[in-house]
Amino acid sequence: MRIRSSWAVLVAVLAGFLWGTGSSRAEEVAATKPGSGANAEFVGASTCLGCHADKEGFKKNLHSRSFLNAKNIEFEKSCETCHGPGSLHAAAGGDKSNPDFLTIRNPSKLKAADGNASCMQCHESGHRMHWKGSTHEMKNVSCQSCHSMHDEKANGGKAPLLAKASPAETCYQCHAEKKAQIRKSGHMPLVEGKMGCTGCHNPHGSPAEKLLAKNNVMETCFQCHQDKRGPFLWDHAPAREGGCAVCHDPHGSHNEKMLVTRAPMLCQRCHVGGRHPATAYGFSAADRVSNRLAYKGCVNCHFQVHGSNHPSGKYLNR
Amino acid sequence: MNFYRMLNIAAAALLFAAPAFAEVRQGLDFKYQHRNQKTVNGEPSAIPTEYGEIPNGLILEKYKIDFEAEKYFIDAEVTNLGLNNQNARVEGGDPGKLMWKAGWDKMPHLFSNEARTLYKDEGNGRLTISDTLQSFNQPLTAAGYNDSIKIQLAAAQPVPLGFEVETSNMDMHYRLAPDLTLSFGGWRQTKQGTKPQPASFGFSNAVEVAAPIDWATNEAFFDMELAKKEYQLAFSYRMSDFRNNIPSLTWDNPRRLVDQAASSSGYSTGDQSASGQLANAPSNTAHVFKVEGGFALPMNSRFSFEGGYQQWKAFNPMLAYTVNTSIRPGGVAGANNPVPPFDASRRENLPDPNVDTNIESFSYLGKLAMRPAESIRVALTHDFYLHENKNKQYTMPGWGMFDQLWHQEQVQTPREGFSDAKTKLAVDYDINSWLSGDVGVMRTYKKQTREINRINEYEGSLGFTIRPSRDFFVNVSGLHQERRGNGMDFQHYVRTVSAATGRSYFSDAPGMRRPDVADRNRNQGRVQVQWNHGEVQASVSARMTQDIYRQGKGSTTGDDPVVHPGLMGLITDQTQAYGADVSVPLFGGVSADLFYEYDFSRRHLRSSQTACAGSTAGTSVGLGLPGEPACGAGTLAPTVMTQDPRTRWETLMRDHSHVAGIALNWLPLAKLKTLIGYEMVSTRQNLDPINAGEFASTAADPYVSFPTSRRFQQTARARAEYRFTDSLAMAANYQYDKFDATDFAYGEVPLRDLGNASIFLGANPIRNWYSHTVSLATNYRF
Repeated sequence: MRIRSSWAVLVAVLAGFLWGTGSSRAEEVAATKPGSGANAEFVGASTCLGCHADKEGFKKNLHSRSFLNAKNIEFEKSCETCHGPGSLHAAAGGDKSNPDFLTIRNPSKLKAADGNASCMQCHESGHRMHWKGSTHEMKNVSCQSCHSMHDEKANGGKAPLLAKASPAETCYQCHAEKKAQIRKSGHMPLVEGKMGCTGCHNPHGSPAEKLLAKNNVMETCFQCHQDKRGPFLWDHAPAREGGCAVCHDPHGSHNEKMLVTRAPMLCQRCHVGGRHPATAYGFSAADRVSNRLAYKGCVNCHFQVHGSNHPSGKYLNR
Repeated sequence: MNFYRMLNIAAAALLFAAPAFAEVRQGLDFKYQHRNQKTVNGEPSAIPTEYGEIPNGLILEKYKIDFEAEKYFIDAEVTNLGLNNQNARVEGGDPGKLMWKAGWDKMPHLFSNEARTLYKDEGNGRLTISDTLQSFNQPLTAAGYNDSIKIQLAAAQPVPLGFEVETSNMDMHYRLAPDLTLSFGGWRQTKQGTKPQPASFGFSNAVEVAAPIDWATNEAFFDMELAKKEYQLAFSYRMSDFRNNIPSLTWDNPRRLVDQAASSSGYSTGDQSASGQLANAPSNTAHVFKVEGGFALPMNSRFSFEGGYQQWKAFNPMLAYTVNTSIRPGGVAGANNPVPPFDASRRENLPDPNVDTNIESFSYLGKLAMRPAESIRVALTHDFYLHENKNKQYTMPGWGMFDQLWHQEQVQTPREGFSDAKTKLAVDYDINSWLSGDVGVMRTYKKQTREINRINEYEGSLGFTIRPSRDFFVNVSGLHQERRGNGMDFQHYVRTVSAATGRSYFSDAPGMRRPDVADRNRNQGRVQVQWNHGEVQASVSARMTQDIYRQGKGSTTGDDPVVHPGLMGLITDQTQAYGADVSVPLFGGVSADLFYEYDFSRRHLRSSQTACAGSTAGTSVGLGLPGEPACGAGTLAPTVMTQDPRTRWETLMRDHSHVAGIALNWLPLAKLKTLIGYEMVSTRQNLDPINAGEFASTAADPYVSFPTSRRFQQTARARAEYRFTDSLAMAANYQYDKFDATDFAYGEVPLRDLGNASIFLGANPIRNWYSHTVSLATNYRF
């Protein structure tokens, strides 16, 4: 019944959106798109650089140098490939009050979807194959939010032309809480620069949840932790079925091994009965004196928590 | 050594080729550093970093050389030369036509520099203790052994605890035709060293050894892509081969020199076998095939798809049930110690000489993304993932428990697998020029081999994106998710049937709230704000998740009204995270960078119940039911098997974390940059009982909260950099680091005495320490 109600609410909300004030969108597009530049002609990069001398570095960056080989576009035509024909804009001579000045197409000033369309003319392949309909695309994230086509900050002008000094710094622009979380005592070597967010995530869209680079959490972790891949004679069911994130928080944790909480309570989230006393270990002075509490807790004995290939490994202790 | 030879050859080749390039740029960063680190509270030593060293002396931080020609470029870079976290990479090519890169990276993973062990590594996974020590300990009483082992551990040998990861990679990207590209390459990673490995002999004898690691992974890939403007099609193949050169670990028991099968009373004390053996991670191979693509459709629409197949295989010799040669017919039998009908230490008595395991995965995705009007975007996605376990399945007659005794019970090896099928519809609508809204609905259907084997998950989400100007952005979203299973599949649970009562006692309690499968309602909210105006940059993000677990359908009791009647396990789980990141100019050339995060989690955990035992330990006499002895009466005490509601306990686990940093930059002169900064990471964990049950908590020994566990790391730094010329800059740095921690698991819990001594490596990861580091750094570009 409750599920049915939730669906009804969602359908109502969706209908509300469709019925909403969409007409103003057309005015917005007219204002931001270079529609009035229909009569403009191509003038060439030399003309552009005459005023935009600060973009001189574009000649040497990866983006510009790829044009000829990848798309058979001479450098002279490179600026207007993305910005549209610039004769009217150039003729305006920097006079911002002149309507022709606005006829140039500046993807970073357009709505995200319109700006991204420029990039996707060439880049709808490789890691961006599933960009359309992805979380970031649907949330109006623009390519320019992460990439700088002219003045890249990372990697000396080579791929991937990031707007910030590293892939992680780029992601922290919106995911501020992750910047701090990764500094906790149990963390992966992001702070040390040995890996980046894109080691696990594909921000351009992927078939998996959380924009994971692989099909699921388990496969993502096995990229580096092949020793956990098994397959095992005796699996630990949640490690196989639920994925590594049932017990680990890959973005950083107070606990060793980035565990979401400490043993034995970590294990007692599921194993609260069973052959061991269902004791609240440690809450009384008497049972605080227990190996089950110290150091790795349950893992002191059940150390093959990821699975065992030993014929006596049923309880993951061999 | 080989690496340095290769580096020299590469460097010589690059310099020789330099005249062919129009432009050569080089950069050199080096520093002289001195670090003075001390421990506090009398701790012996500590490791300040898990993933790299901070050495004294002259350090070459970075050398970079770039060659540029009209069409080609080569960039090479070496960092931390000679240190254990050094890295080298070179890349080059003709952009858009041929790009290639190669790299080599070294990274330590340090656990401790103060570990001590009784064991000697004889190679090939064999850790030994001297016969003299074993024979000395063997006749000792439990109390005598406990005293003895303390003395022996104090005199134990230091052992390095950590391993080194070396990674080499090379790959190439070549455009065969304007629309056709090929990519191929390889990757090799080795991990060698030691890791702390629990290696117990029984419930009360926790033993930890420095287990040797010698792993190597080789991977290769080949991708081919046809990318037209209207459609794209890509094929990829990846192979990953993991080799564990130490397939098993065998270690001596410090308590015994000669094997003996356990009596019933020896089950938990673990002093019967002369050694133990475990199977290390199996060598395995994975093959991954993937086809993906997409094509444009009318009305600004696009369909993209992906299909994949994977196979993971392991094939390893199966170890014997036990290395205890006394576990054979004619051995000592006891109540908990049935004698196997064969010699369990001989491999010919195994069901198969090899472990033959195999998992195959199939996946596909179809996504229709549409923009039927300027202001609306729609995405309909369906994906499916099948993780099919095709392991060879064995029926085992029983197993060796901790190499101490034989547990006779016919059991079949499991085949854990699952499938997920997700269908999602998302709609984003631009309401006006500055406001967008999005709604999404998703249904996930999961099938699994055990526990709750069929699950439906429904999710609805709603969000708004507010972008009044290109400098300001707000994203607010929330989702509600309901997960419902088909009920408890209790017949798959491992159980023991009581001879006295005929009732089932479960090893994994039915009804438990396994976080990944139990019925659950989830509420999640998210806010992201970003403001960039001139030199001011500010972002705030927050995420809140509340999980409420539910009873679900089906019997949690196996139709026995007194067995496990209540919810148990994880009841609720709440997490919140708030982060902020601000860069702002202040005055007179001073600017500030700040970040802060607070996160909080709260987990409510409830136990099942505990049955009662008589005065003789381990003798279950009743459940406190009508007609049976009352639990808690006379000599009866709560014990294993968890049935009496009066022994149920509940607790709250709370984690609080604060992470903050501030840096002030001051540019008093055009050529002088100064910085002072402070960062801290403070985390705190509390465990408080809500309801402790009426048996274990007494007036004399009441339940109390755990001691709070804390980590507190602080860093203060100051830097002044002066640029003498365009090519030369020098900087003076000072850094103060301090780490303080308390944790009951490492320091405040006295281990149980009387023969239950635990042998840990002494590798406490939370030693308190502080350090002062000064350095003079030079940056030279030429």
